[in-house]
Amino acid sequence: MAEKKYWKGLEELHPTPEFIELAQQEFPEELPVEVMGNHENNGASRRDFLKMLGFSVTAAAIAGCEMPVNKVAPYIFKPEDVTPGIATWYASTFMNGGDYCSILVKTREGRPIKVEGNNASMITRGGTSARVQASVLSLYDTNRLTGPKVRNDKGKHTGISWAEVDAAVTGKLNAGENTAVRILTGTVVSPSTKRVFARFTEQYPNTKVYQYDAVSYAGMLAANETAFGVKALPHYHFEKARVVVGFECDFLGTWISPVEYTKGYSAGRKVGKGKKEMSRHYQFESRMSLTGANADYRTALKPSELMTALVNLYDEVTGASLSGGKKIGDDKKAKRIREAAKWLKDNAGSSLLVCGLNDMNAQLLVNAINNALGNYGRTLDMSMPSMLRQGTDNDLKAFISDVSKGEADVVMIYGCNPVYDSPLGFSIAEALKKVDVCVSFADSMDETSAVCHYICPDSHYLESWNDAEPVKGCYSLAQPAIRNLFDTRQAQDSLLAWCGASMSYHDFMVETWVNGPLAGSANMTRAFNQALQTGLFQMPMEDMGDHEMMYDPQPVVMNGDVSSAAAAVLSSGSKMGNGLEVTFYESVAIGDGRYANNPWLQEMPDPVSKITWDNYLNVSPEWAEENDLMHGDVVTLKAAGQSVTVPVAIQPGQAKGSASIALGYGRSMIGKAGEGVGVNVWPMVDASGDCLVYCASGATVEKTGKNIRFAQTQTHFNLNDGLAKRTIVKETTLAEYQANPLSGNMDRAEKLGHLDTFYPDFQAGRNGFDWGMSIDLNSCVGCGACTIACISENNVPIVGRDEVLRAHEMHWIRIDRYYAGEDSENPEVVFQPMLCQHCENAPCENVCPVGATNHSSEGFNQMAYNRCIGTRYCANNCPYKVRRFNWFDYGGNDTFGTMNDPHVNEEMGMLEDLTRMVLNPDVTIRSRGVIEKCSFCVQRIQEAKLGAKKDGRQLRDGDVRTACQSACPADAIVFGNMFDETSQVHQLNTSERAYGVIEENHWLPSVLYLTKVRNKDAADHTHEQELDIMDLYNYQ
Amino acid sequence: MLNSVYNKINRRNLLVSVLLLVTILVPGRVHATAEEGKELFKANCAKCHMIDRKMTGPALKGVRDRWADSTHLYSWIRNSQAFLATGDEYANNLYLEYNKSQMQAFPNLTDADISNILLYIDAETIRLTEAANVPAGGGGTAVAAEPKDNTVLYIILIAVLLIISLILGRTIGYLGQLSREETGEPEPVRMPVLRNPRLRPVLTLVGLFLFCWLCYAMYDSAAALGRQQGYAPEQPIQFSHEIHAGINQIECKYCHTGAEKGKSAVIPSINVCMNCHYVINQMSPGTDGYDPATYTAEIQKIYEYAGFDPENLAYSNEPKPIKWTRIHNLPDHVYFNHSQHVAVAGLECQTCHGMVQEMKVVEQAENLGMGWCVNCHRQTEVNFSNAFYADYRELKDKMDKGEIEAVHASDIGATECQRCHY
Repeated sequence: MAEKKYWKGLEELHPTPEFIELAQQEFPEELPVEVMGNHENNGASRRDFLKMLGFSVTAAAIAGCEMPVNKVAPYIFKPEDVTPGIATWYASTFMNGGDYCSILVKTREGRPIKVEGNNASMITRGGTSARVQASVLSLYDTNRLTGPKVRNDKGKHTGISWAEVDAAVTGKLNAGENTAVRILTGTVVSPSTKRVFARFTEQYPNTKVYQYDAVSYAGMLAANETAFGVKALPHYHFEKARVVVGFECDFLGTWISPVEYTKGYSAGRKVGKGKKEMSRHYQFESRMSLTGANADYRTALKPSELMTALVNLYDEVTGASLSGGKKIGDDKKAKRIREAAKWLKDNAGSSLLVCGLNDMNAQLLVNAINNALGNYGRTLDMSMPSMLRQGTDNDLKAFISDVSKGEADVVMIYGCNPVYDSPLGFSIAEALKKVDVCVSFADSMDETSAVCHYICPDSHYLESWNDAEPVKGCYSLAQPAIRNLFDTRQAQDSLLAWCGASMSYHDFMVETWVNGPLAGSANMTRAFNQALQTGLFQMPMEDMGDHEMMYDPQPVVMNGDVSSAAAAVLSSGSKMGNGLEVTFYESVAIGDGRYANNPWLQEMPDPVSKITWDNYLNVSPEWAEENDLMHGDVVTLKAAGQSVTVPVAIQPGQAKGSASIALGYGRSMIGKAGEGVGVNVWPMVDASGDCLVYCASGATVEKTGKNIRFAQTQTHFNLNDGLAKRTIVKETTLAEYQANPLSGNMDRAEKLGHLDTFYPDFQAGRNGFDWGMSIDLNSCVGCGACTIACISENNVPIVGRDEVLRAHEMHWIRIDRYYAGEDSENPEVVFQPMLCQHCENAPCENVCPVGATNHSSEGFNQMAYNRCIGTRYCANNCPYKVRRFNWFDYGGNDTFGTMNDPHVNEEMGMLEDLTRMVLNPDVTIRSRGVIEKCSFCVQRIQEAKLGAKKDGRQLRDGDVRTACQSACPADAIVFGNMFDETSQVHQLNTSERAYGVIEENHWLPSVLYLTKVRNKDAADHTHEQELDIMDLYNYQ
Repeated sequence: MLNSVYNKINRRNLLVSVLLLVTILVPGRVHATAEEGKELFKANCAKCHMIDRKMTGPALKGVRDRWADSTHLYSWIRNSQAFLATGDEYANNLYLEYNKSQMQAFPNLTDADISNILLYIDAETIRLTEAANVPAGGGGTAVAAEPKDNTVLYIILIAVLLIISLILGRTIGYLGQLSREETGEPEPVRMPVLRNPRLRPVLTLVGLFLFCWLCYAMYDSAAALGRQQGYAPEQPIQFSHEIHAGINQIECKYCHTGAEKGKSAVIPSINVCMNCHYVINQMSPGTDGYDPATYTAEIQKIYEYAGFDPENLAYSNEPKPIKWTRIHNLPDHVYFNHSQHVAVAGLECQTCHGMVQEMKVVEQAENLGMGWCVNCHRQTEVNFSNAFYADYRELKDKMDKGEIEAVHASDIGATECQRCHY
């Protein structure tokens, strides 16, 4: 059988001479020699060199002459729970719209600096996402409002005091009888906040609260209301599903509660000792989503075909014939639908169908299929539903109609930005002009606040008291981890003040709990404090067991007319099938646009396209060729009567004849990081029906003749130089794995067996600890949470779009995404987190002229920044391309000012005082001109060792968790002491699936990967060369 | 005869002895009672009273004069509540003035005890008044004479000597030339010193030595850049570690609470100072080298920072932070954790910080350079009895078998880069 070919981008699949040359080059970008001097002839001269030399010697001498005088101001009265130098942790809850995660907040000297998952939570179970990890940076966003604002006659907002705002708003509220108040919010997950609205309505009876979600789930809510009489979303249990079928549903990336689903999904797909079963995942979708990239079988279908496919699936599962003979044209794709149906039926009761379409009829069909399979009460559950999305599109429309009819005297906008993130934004902005008093609670100036009279900035969630009920009956609490940085006030406090309730929101919330979740507790204070300490109130863990459902589910009875729903689905499908079909999706990082001003998220490469700092029109390779489009060609996209100018990204996996583009970009008013990044396509979303349709058909694309380069990281750091075949990814199928656990990894023994070395045994005289890591390629879904967690933990600088273009991104851990197979409409995808492998025979160490990087007795490949003179030989010699060079003074800590290139924005990132508050004080800020890389979170190792020493006990397995490991929602990363034979990492790294990347060169990486196992029939899978079974090389 | 003489002498002796005894013992007796009074005062009264200042109770200076009847004073001291019940006007006013805070009863004090205490109070009052009458500034402050800097003098001296030797040299040369001119001797062939073959090896050696010295000096001064050994800046409060850690024997970690817990030893917050200085509001005289007035003024500065009103013993003013000047500055790329060294390794503070308990002004005792750190890491033996080190199985085996005597910190990686640099 032919060797399987992996490729990162189309240019690698069909390599051009330029690409090969680039891959073999020392650095992916041209060296910026011109920076040295601007001589017309040949750059820097000998004289320049001498001048520079003289200057630097003198500079160093002068710098050393006078020591700065450092002042230190201790507390006046030290708070009991703060000791300088020791972190204080608070349990809290991350909430932003419907995004939810139970978290622990690490504070140092009163500053929140890191967010970790809360293992005690039954919902998110210790997992986090990139958005959660990055939320700590938004606390220190320089764009946050520093106090309440009022709009003057010229339309500008100026500062005002809270007393004045209160007087103005209450004045208006009490001006006449029965003042009409309209409150527009995003999904409110907090029961106490809902009570605040109720209290407010009590005071001002003519109040209406409207909830909407920018990325709407109204179709599902309506379908569930019809089917089960509950207007809520089901609570999914992916861990119990042996078959998962996804329809245009990115449940690992963005759909409802991706952290929770990733936990369950990856738990269901882990294989290893004693577990030889895993779930099978079929995905039908138009664009290549993160979820589709992880599917065993992915089928690319245009949005119009998806509708037909769904009805076909219903027919196959139930034996009905609602399709009326209408079928997917492509036989191969039709076959996949039959297969999926068969698997669903064979696993009835432990299968799961999820659908991301915001279409009530489609969702009704999905409910019918799940119901027919008996999945309710097993893999999904309506009796304790999820409360994470509650908004409906009709609410938004009702709000607009109320306001534009002039029926509202006072309008309040909380937790949403309708002028931007709705296709009806323009009409909302117009309607709001008719309102006398319009109040926004936005924490920074956005498109909606700009048209409001008063802005009453809400505090950041890390400064606030709050509670949440993500799933009916499961509560969590949020507590402030820092005092208000600015003169802000929680929206709930503002509302309470305006309705004359003379109590703080904290007291109000306690009242909710005393009468709600905690009612019946013997000792109320104790019960509340316990909930506050764990951040949670839920049924005791022991009652439910790990990953078990916490109650005995009852099968549900389903109502609703399925046949008319099917007919409606088919008809809307045929309406869509017209010309180019463009779908609009939220990206994993930026969401509906609310995270657009977070530079960590902007610079996080999109999991699939690996493009940063931009949105773009994804088109399929074939379609691009037909239309003579190149990657990066700027086109004018016309759809739904709107037109935008946007670059084209050729995306393998995009269904031919369809295109897709991310929402959330093109913010016109948000802040330095997000403003003007990408284009806004919200107006193209179809708002004509009951539910928003995130698809526009009949779109046209016209070339503008321009071509841009994307800040795309996918081929920046190439492990394969095209000269030799290297072991990078290994995979097998489930059946083969069950037959032989070594399958896919059988060449390892041979590859390692003949390796001889003249170096001394790397473990000679070693003792104590040998740190190692195991990364399970079967679990990693590629979400990027680890990358952001690493940035947060290790003070990794953000470099901006221009620098990413020069391949200067600084991430210590990146996720390499490989495509495999020749079918560019439907490639297999592998995600491989790549970080410093801490090789025992590290090639980087040998070439350092100053010994700045060397090996430790605990197996670290150490990097002493202060010894580094910046030759970058190590980066050149690193086979994994994980070493990063500080081209600029990103930390702003050079003695002579920043000496930065003009295109590095001086006022961003770590150069700002406010933003610097997020830095981890235990990790050095690297200066200009030195190499940096993953340190295996050595600061955490040292902290854990010190803790054990102080307790006088041995270090336990699991005491040390690296930032990437603890952030991972899929539990793909395991870290520990390889010398400890009982440790989890030792077990994994000596298991059959363990292999090292490019280990045939005897670099002895400390990071081993576990072979990816696909639950695929062998015939559908392209294989590696078969080899005889040999004794597995024992790592120890 | 002899006997009677003896007796006479003896009797006279006795008389003399008695007379002598009386002359010696009477003043001694007064002294002794005041001493006893001091002990009693410290044990019973000092908790609430001071001689010249209000505390919980009134200042005791002139207490005898304030009480018309000394028997009243005695019974008041023995049991103030009972005495109040008698309805004495002065006593009841006093009681009201001090917010009805009850004075503890001292039924065990005898009349003699009380009179001793009163004697002590009198003696102290006199001493304090005398002390206060000494003009300010003259009271025992040893104004350290500025050490004279003689550098300029030396330079002038060397310059003068150089000039003299130059003149002399020229004169000798001139005279020689004159004498040669007279005798007609030919001019000697001048050979440049550097070309002198006999001098060459010497010159080479000297040159080599100079070069080496220069290199060494350059390296040394370059390495010393940024080091601050001996740095003893002026602080916003003239805090003397000698008084606290030396004379009063206060444990370092009483104030530097972080030393055993974490990274930073912690400069104490003002509330820690106030634990003691709530009561101790002045420097008691009698400490060598310390002027009570100066240091009492320094204590007042704490009150200013703490927003404390010593008259009313209340935190009624606006507090403000003390901005101390940091003495021990490690570079940002060094991670140092106090608890590793104090709690785990059990090092004394003085090992790195010098004899702080003898420092009136704290200075940086060591250079805090990497060589200094590494040196100690090479020499320090690891306490393998801590269960943590059980993971170092081979070393532990060898230790147990007696193959090695000790494991040094460097044997388990304490001199590796990433122990301190990350």
